[in-house]
Amino acid sequence: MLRAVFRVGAVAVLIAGWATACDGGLAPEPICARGLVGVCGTIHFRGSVPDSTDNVFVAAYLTFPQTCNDLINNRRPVIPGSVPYTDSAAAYSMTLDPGTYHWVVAVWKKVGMLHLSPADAIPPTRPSPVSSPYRQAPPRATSTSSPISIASARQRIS
Amino acid sequence: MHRTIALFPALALSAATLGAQGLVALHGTVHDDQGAPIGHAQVGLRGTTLFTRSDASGRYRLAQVPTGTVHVRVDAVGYAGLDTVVAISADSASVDFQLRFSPLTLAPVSTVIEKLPHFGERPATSVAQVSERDLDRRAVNTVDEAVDHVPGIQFVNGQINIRGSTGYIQGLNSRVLLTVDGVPMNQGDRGGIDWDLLAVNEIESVDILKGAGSSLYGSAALGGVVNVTTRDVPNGLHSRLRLTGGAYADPPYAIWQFRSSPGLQGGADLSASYGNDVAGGSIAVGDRHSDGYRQQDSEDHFHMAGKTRWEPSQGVRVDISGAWAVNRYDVPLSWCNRGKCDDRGQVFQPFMIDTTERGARTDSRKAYLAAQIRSTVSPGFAWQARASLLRTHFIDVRRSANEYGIGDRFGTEARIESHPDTNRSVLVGGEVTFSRVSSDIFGSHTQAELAAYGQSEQQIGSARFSGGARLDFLAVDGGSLTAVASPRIGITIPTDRREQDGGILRASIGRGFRAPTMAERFVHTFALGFEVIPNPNLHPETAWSFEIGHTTAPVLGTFRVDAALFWTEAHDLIEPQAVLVPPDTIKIQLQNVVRARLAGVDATIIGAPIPNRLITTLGYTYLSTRRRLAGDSTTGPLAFRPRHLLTLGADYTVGSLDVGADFRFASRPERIELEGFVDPRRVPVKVLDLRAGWSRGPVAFRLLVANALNYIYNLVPETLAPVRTVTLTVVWAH
Repeated sequence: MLRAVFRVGAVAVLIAGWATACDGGLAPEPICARGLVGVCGTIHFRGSVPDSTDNVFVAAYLTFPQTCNDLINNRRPVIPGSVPYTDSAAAYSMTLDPGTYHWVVAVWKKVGMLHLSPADAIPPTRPSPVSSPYRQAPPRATSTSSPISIASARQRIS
Repeated sequence: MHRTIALFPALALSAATLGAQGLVALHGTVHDDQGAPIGHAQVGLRGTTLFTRSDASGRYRLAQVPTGTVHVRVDAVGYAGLDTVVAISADSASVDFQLRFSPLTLAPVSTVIEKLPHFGERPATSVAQVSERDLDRRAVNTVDEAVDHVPGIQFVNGQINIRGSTGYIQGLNSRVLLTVDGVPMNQGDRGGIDWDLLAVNEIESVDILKGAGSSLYGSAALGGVVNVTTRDVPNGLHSRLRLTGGAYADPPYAIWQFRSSPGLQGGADLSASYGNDVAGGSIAVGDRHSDGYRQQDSEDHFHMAGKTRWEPSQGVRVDISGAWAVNRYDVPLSWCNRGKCDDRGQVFQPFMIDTTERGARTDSRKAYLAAQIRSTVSPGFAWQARASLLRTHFIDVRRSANEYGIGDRFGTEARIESHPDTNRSVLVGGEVTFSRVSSDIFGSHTQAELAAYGQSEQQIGSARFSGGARLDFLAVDGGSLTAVASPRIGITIPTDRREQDGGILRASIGRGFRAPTMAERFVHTFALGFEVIPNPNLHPETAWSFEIGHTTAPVLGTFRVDAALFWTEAHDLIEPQAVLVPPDTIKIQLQNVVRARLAGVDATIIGAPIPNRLITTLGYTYLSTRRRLAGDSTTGPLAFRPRHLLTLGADYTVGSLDVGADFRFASRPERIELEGFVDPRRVPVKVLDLRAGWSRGPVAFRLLVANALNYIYNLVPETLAPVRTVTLTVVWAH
């Protein structure tokens, strides 16, 4: 009797293991996935991409940054994913915590390390978003003109 | 006269018996009730320094045995221990022992990991063992693949976690100490572990001590100790050939495809040995290639190993062993996130890499040489000494810049073992370790560790007490000494009156520590766009660990349960911190900033519902962690620690055929390091391994389907864990 119980138990455990593993784990996730909580959309490029381009990425800020430290520390995500910049238009997406974001910005970054100094202070008025911390950044980016509220669904910006 | 002894009831033996007249060599064989030899059985005289192991053909030889009546203990994995009394005279020192198959019997405690022989007694802390049979059945290629199935243990991208000890620290250290035949083998510069230093073909068993082991082993044994026992050199001429070949599964989704043909892997290991009663030697060589299961993941591995033993006189044994391994492997630093490769419109491509990391690879060389001598002066006194050198050399080839590091670790140890009577043992020893590094990212530095330790065990009534302490002195670059004390006490109490396989209650409390590695103190590099700066003022991490556990006797002859509550309070854990360097630069520095608590339950149920046929295991670990930064009242869980860890295993044997399965589940870690800096995507671990084997005579075939369901997961950010891998292994042993 006990052996039968063990056998049934062993089979049950194997089936349970099989069943729990059936979700397959990580799965493909297209840009602007249906379940995305954050922002996604398309970036349009004008003109040719400079040779000195290191990255183009999109970042979001809950509040408009007042200092360089704000610019680095308060961006979401802290290290944003790159957006392809060899195309005339590129899709992007960004996972964000629910909230109201006052500044969403596409940024061009030059090749090389970031070197921040007090001279990089952000002017009190809202600038062209890429003009400040990254020296020699061409004014080639766009930013949102009004706050975006992220609830449980995605937002599209283009 | 030649005798064979089967099970006898244990008899008490007075210490006076050992004072008999002469000393002879006891020899014979250990075999099962079918007459088949039992290799690696421990044969020893209770309460003395005298012990040995049988070779693969079951033969043993025990020197310095006093004539008269002696109390012999024989243990082997999967067999009931044998306690018996043997009358030995000068002309009758040949005794064969017959053991009874008993899958529920606890594996004998490693002499190496406890530094003292145990004859049927259980230690006060939790131990686990991966036996030769387990290694063979799993047909794995490296030690970590086999240890990963032990309940309570999880490997996170090559870093071992015993009850959540280490987490994942980018290979910069380990809170678990690796020893090979008792010789510490953590890297001299980074403190990490090279699990491929030895081929599985050369390994006899792996023993794991869970919990703080610093009272005997010092630094790095904060979370536990893993000892790898290499194959002994048996008498006669022996050879062993192991061939493996296999293939990796393709990605389960077409949009993740990254190559047109399946990835393959294969290798060959060959070893040969010759020995007699006085001396012996073995040599092994092996080569392995893997295409890898993802983009830029190929690996070539070559290794050689050798071992000699010499017994110049009765009771004296000298072992010299060494290994050399060369690895050249591609480094898929992180998977491709949107825009970092041909992402095909996906947010991430787990099988592909960031194109900026194309060509990244590492050339790694490592070697060790160790010499040990053990002299059994009398049944009550023995001494042992060793010297070793471990060298690791890596070159990281990256597109941005190359980095290199050469780390040396010299170690010496001497200890004496005394058994004033059969109920008491005393161990006293000293250890000196000298490490040096030469590297473009760690600089050129040295670190010395001087230590003295002592431990005693005492039987009082049915309880067995153990207590000991170790005092370590650390000096970096010849500077001032830092002292760390690591005491430990423990007790075991039988919970029923069975002579064999009874229930046992155990409890222990001990303090462990880990000295910062030179890599942690002096690393100067760039990571994630930030400059990482040195911190020479790092001091040792420390932890108090408490454990209380119980092993039941077999219940209805069908299963037994082992459960332990553990609690660790860790201080000054080292973690990377962002620091503001005036006027306005953010840099990263490793600092002693974390206080942590790791508590939980570790339970194992071993079942043998169909004796001699079906063996099942269930291991479950519940881990609760709490992390608090210095100067910050907020708390959270430690990174990379799953709260639930479950392992299920079953093996069914019919004649020469066996089949088995393992299932591992680890819940999704609640927290990872560098959250916000990296892709935080992660899922629980649900991996099913299937295996089958067939053996006849000298040949054995093993089929392993690892991750049979091709479950796609990652253990650390942006790093895909292995996909389904089918491997066929053929072993020929002569």
